[in-house]
Amino acid sequence: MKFECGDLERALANPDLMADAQLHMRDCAACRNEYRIWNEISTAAKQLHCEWDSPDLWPNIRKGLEAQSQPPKHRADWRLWALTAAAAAMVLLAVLRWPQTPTDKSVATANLSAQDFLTDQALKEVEKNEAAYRHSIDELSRLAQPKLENPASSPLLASYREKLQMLDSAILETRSNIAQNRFNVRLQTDLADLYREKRQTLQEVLTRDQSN
Amino acid sequence: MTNPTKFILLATLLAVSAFAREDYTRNFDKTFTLRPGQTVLVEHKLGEIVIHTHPQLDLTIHAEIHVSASDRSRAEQFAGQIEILTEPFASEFSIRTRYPENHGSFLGFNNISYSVRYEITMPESAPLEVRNSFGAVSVTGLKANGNIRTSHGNLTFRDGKGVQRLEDSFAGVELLGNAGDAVIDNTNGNVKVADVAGALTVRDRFASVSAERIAKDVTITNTNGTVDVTDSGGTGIVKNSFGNVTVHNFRGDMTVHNGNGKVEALNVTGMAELNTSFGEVRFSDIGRGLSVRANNSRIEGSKIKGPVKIENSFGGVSVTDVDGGAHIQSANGAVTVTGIHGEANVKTSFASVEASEIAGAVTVVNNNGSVRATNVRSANVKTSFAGVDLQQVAGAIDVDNQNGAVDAGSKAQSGCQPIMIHTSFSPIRVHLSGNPSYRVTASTSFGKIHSDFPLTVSGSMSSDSLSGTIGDGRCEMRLTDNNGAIEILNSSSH
Repeated sequence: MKFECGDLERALANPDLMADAQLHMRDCAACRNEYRIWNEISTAAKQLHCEWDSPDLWPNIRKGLEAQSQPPKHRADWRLWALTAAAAAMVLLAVLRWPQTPTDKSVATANLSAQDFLTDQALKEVEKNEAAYRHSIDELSRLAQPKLENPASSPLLASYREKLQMLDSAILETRSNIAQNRFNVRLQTDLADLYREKRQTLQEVLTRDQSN
Repeated sequence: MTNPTKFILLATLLAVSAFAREDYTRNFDKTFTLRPGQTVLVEHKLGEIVIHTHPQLDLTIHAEIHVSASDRSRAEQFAGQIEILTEPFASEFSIRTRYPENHGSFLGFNNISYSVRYEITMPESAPLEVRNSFGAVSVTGLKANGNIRTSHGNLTFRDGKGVQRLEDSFAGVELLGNAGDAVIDNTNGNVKVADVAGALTVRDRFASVSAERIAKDVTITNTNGTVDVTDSGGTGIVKNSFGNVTVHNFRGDMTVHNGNGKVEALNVTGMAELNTSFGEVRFSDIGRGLSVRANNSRIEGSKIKGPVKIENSFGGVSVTDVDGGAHIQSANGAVTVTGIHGEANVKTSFASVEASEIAGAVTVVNNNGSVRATNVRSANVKTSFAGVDLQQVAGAIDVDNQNGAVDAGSKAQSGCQPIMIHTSFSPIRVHLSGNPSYRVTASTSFGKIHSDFPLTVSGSMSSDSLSGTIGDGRCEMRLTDNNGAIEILNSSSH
């Protein structure tokens, strides 16, 4: 078969296609990059897999349902209400299945759009992994905090602190754009890169400047 | 079918349909004719901009508007709301992307995504200004000034002419070919520059910078990343920290201020000033003198045409083949100087000093460290608690040591050069050859005085003190020891 960029998602789910994918990626920087990102997220998510409660999820959904059903103009739009209920059901299903689903497998089956946009399934996986990634970064941040906040820290730590502030600002900006453009592959890739860099920087803070 | 059943079926169908997405692409194509000198201004966000140039005055805009939504009609509707605004003003032609504000949302989540990609062909002589974010920018063949800014997307500029200002963050900048000056600002993204027939200024942070074949001045300020400058010229200034700096083949003077990183300068035709801390300094083939200021660094290099001045601490210094004098001040670091065509002036402590093949005078001030010199013009050495070994000294020898042996050999075959040696708790040995001629004053305590040469003694004489002459007694030899033997040896017979 002639392997194309659009086949990458199938190759991630089907090991039989991986040989063709590897061959294709030798000459295709875009697919190589995409594959690298998924691999990194997959590895990180697998290592950092954890579960936690989402106490605000149902109240938010209920609030959303109420908000959608209360105004007269929305009440008239029964399709929107039904869609909301269906989406809520899907979200609930996803949340319930979440702990049982191996994260790396989820990543492997992520359904990436060939060009500019993620599919629903891919977005769901990305957002799920992002949450796990963010949680692990928060944990690293907590560990690094005493070092970074030490006023007598070395110039190297001062520069790490500056870099982390810069990355946080960039993450905030990118997330704000993603809020309006969630399926945009570029934005999601940028965010993944920023998170990866932040994690790497925090790890360097914790390991490279042991003496300070 | 009951209403609840109908609803469940409907909801399921809708849920399935909610997971199917449609992409839609709308193209925008327009051509305008610009007035000569009119600036092209592009303001964009969320998408790539590719700009080519041609000699004509036509401006051709091709924009691909991509939208992804839950169904085709929504995607099409949203794509229709994305505007490409083209506005001709007196001095500039503006191209702007306007996305709809507050577009439909779903439970607080946006279900529509979009991007716009531009391909623009513009007059090569028109100045260009680009402001983009979350998208790459590529410009080829611009023969006028450019001011190009993006973030979260690579910036590539090729084959330009004029003054170029490029700015990016969180992505790489690549400038390949520009007949004119270039200023590049980046943050957290690598910068690669090559073939600039003008001056280059780069400011970056947390990434690497490389510059090749820059004709005029090179000024690079970076932190936390490497800096490489190759085959360039003019006046070079590199400031960096927490990253290595490499300069190869630079035509002109080069100054490097680094911190916590290595510095390597090879083949600099002008003066090289290399400063760093906690990083090695290496140099070779420096054309007009060298100055190094470092601490906690190892310093090593050779082939300097001109004087060398080095200050260091807590690291060794090794310099070879200097076509001028060498002044080296160190502390807690060994110093080795070889092949110095001028004088060598070395100061250190708690480490050894070695000097060989020095055409000029050697002056060493050490403390708690040995001194060894071979084949030097003259030697003036002060140290303590370590030995001094001077061989093949053509001129005067002056040693002030404490608690360390002194072994000094004069190279003078005939005649004499003054020899003054003082030490304590260790022996003094002086090697002479040919027909030496000295007025000798030697004194010690708890040690003996021995001479291979016949001594004509004058005044009082004891086993630990004497005054006399060797040969005609034309030069002064004063040997003073305390608790150590004194020997004047004939190196011709050994």
